[in-house]
Amino acid sequence: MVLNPPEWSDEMSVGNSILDADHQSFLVLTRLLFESQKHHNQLVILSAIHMLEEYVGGHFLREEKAMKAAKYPQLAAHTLKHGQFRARVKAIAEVYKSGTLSAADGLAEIVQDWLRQHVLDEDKLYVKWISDIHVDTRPLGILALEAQG
Amino acid sequence: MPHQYLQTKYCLVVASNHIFCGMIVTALRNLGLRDLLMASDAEEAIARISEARIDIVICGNTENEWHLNTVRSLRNNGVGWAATVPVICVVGELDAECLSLIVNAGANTVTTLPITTRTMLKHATRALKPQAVQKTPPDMSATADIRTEQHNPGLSENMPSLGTLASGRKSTIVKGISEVAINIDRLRSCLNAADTASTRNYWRTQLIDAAQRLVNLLALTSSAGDDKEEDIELRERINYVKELFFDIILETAWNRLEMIAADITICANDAAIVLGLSASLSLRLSAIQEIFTVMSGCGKINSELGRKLSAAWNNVERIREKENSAFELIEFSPEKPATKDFPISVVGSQAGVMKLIESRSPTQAA
Repeated sequence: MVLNPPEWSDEMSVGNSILDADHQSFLVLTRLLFESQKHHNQLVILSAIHMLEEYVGGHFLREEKAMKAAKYPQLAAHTLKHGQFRARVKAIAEVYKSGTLSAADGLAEIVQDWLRQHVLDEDKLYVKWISDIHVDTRPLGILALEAQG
Repeated sequence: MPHQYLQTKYCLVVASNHIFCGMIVTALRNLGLRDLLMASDAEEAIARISEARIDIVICGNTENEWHLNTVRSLRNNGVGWAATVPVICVVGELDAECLSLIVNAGANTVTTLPITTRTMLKHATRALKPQAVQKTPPDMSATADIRTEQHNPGLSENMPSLGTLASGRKSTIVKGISEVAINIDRLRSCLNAADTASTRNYWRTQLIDAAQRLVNLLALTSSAGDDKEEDIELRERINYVKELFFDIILETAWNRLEMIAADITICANDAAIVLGLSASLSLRLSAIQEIFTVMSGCGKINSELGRKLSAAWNNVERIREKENSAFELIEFSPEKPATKDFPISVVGSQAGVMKLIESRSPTQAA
């Protein structure tokens, strides 16, 4: 379990307010997931998991579109890492939805740790490449729907 | 594009649980709504609505009772826009009866957990669109839409008239009355329909729906507590449809009872007895018994109907006795053809069945 709900820090900024807002949304969701697990309300936990899946899809779509528009050379490697995390979250979500409630126990911590590591180690590398014109400015929820197809 | 439309809207989230509130707020923010206010209960919500522009209210709680009380409070105690602002309720469990009550109390739409971006977008967009004029339901071809009174002079002629719609509560009640009127029309369409299981199910659904709406409407008017002319007119209107409702279910009960009495007479005159007739008649009579019990509970006692119902039950009992004596229950044992050791046993009663089972000990079977 996450002992300290995650907080945003300026070191996590990637220089674009829309992408930063996406990252902040993840942290908010992580916090909500952490809080909802304390109260053991399955439907609320399931909502947090649904929204997490959606936002993972939406944010990754936004980043990948921006990297492609900016002709970022590490696009393929970055996309691969996105795919791995997306699959991991999806697998945990499926196990939870199938009835294994303990599957969500460490999810908040996983997301928090992965996000921090990914932003600092991977996303920081595209900062020099991506500018505001490359980034799709639509709301994260709308991109999430687009990512779902 | 729906999300661009939403971005211009101001939303109030009403939730007593901060986690639930956080979920809804996060979902709305990520749909583009920026101007979000929060309240923990109806009283605070009404205050917020009076202070700031609010285009939509979203209520979140896992308890359906909380939604019912909150929506009623918003519609009853809210003044002006507070009483008519679109309200979406995000509930925990899908309880059809309770959801119906929440909608009748004045909610525009109800959705259940878990929250997803798609459902929030769909419901918010739908609630913010101007209300379309509802069409006549397809199964009401014989009668026109009662909501447009000029098409149904029979109902409107005697209906107490209302002045211009002055408040949201009034419009909620008027809408509820129109919906009860539709239920009544559907019940009327079943008056001369065949007394089958599907007709009874349909009829029962309409009956329960209308009864719940009436209960809710009466609660809405009685909780207001004052005797303004508007409230008196509303109560008169509700009483009018309530009387219509009782009349139609009473008429249906009589019609059905007449049909059953006729079938009983045919059975009495016919030498042949149909196996299962008593069970079928019992089902039909049970539906009427239910109506009679409900009406008696509402003080609408009809002693003649009660007497005729009792007589019908007695006759059905006699038919059941005739069936029991006319038919024998044969024990079928396909693996064991009748032999002198295991003859076919004939039982004619439940006690006989029990005796037969007791007589067949495991040692005998072996």
